[in-house]
Amino acid sequence: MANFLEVAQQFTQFYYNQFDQDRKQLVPLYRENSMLTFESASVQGATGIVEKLAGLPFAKVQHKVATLDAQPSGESQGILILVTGALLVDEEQRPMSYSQTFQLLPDGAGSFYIFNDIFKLVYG
Amino acid sequence: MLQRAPVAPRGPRNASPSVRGRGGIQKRSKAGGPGRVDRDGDLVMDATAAGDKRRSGKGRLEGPASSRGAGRGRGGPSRGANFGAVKTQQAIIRGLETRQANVLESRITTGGTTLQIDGLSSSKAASNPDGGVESLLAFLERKASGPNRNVKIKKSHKKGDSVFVTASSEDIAEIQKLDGFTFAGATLGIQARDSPSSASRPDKFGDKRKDEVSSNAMEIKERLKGVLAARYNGDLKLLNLSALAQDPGLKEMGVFDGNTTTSKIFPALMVVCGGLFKTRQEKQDAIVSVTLADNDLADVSDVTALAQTFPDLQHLDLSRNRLTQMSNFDAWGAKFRHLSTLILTGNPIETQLATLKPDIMKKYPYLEILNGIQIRTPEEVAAALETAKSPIPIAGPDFRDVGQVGENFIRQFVVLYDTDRSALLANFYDAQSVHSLSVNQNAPRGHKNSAPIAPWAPYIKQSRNLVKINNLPTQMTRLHRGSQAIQKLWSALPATRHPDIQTAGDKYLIECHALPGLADPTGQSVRGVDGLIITMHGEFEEQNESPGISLRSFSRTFVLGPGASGAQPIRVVSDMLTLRAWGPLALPKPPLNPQANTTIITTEQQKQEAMAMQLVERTGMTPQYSALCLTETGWDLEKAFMAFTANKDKLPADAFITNAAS
Repeated sequence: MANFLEVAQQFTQFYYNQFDQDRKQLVPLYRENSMLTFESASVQGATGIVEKLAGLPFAKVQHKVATLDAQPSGESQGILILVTGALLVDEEQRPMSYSQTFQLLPDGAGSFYIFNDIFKLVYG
Repeated sequence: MLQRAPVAPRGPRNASPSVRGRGGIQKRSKAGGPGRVDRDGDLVMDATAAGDKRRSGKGRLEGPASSRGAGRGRGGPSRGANFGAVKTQQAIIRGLETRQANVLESRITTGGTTLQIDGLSSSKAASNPDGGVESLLAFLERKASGPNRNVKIKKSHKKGDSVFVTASSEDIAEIQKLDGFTFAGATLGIQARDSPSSASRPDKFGDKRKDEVSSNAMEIKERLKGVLAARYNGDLKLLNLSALAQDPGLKEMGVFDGNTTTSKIFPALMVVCGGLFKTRQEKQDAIVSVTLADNDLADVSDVTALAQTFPDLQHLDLSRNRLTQMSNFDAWGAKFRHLSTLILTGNPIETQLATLKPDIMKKYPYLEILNGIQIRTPEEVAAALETAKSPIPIAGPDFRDVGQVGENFIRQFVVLYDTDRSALLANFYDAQSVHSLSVNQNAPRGHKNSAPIAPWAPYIKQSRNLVKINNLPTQMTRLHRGSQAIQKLWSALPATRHPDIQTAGDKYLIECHALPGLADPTGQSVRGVDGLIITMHGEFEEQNESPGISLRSFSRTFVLGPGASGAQPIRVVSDMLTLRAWGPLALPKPPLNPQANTTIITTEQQKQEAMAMQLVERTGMTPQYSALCLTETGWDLEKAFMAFTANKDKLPADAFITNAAS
């Protein structure tokens, strides 16, 4: 029962580290049925999602996670994660407040992938 | 903390206790200035004794270094630049608020209620039967007492070579001023220590760390704190770092011996200064202006650390340095975005760079005053801030409902959560519904929204922020499963009022997506059933005891699925709530503000046009066909080129420029 919490924490840490270092390497976290909704633009499929992320108009980016909450989602053994935090891009000094919801699903091989990824700036 | 820092040099604050008791205090000074003599003939250190004041003996930084003119226009550095300094200070003073609490100063003077006193063991009194403690205490009480104050040490104990004394905070402040005084042939070192009752004081160099830091490093740190304290003007919130090479305190430390430059000492000063503040906000409140005049700077790379320590600085004076060109500022990168005053008077760049004003304006987009001349009106600055576009364009919500299920749920949720949480639970939650909440106490807020925040107490006990809560049982008990458990939680939370979703829709940002593969609560569908995932961002008013600060912002994620019974057609599978200090939502810019909108569109358009032109060059296709090809390949130049290569034989002749031209 507690396992989902560890997964959620490890996932969040890994995801943002990877995002901030080199977001092009996020491909393995998504599948063809994954959906990214980034500022209301939805993209489906790992390749398209990572292209979208890679094409975002900033070079340097830093996520600072302020809150993380996770719940087991139903009998599918999925995990629902809600993160809020601050986002700093390039030389911009002013952090932006964001909220991101992930729904993780087991991939059948012992790990998880991102089924839904919904990102929104809540205060710019 | 500036525990041992001198308190004397600020004129008005120094007025009352300038008369000391009897006895042989040797605060020696060779000061050429008119030192004051108290009624017993002892020399009293005072701000007026400024200038090149060397202290005799090996004493630590004792008492005031100098009054350094910070905004008072006297005792300035020995460059004879007083007139200019006054002018620049006037420029800096402009727009400063002086009424706010003086954070740095309070740090310097509120030293807690316990002092550590060193030096006794090397005094003549050390040979007394009690090790000299009694006579030391008598000395301290006598010296610290004034005509209107009878200083009393409440408790004392000796530990190693140090004596610790406890007294009221007022008395402690007086005793602390004796730092550097001579007692029975030994120089006393007096510094504040955390007493148990003041353990909450944010002391970076508190007891635990203290033992680890070498005494030498501590000594340097303390001396630098002294230097900083003497150079800080709390009324102006100005840190005067001008003419560092002439600083008596720094000179005494020998940091400018030989060819040592500002670049050596400056980072250390900044580290010590940065360590005084717990938060960026505290720093912003304490220091809005810095002057680095007369430091012989040919490039800001010597003072790079300023940008890290004071990123939010508003006023900066670089007068009379040796800056010659814009690249001299490169070490600061894009820092100091919020600079509003910059003074470069007396630098070669003034005359050498014809484009100084436009170049500086470009580099500092919100700068209002350059060299005392207004280059932007406050209105222009406000407008620039307003249109400073977010690096990520803010988009409106993406609400893809299924049969208005999501919309109906949200409408009912918002009303019932405020008016009848039991009914809400009965309608949409069942024994398997899961709910949890977390509190984000660090959410960034805009400059305009720094209103106080109502206490988080009602929520914090239930906050399940896994970043902070690492205890597994706590993590689990703060996950509420089933409507009964959720009811219990909600009945303990403050009453709320959400904005009317109909009339105040702009207060919300709600997105909705289909979510296949949910477990079927009826067990009929093996492959699961379709549900919805809804993310909602908004605000609510809270009934609390903090008048006027009832607003909070929230983000909430729901997973909805079909209910198990007909009575409850929709059930909440998951409900996660995050609360944060109120700030307006980042809504897409309304079309009323065409400037902001077009910037985003233009840049996107420009990018596409540029890409199309590249494809034209590489393929010989017309711009129209190039654009078409790019549209089909998602505006990916490489992909478009590949598609072109694969299909070029099938393209009609008029797809190519050369054909059309020939």
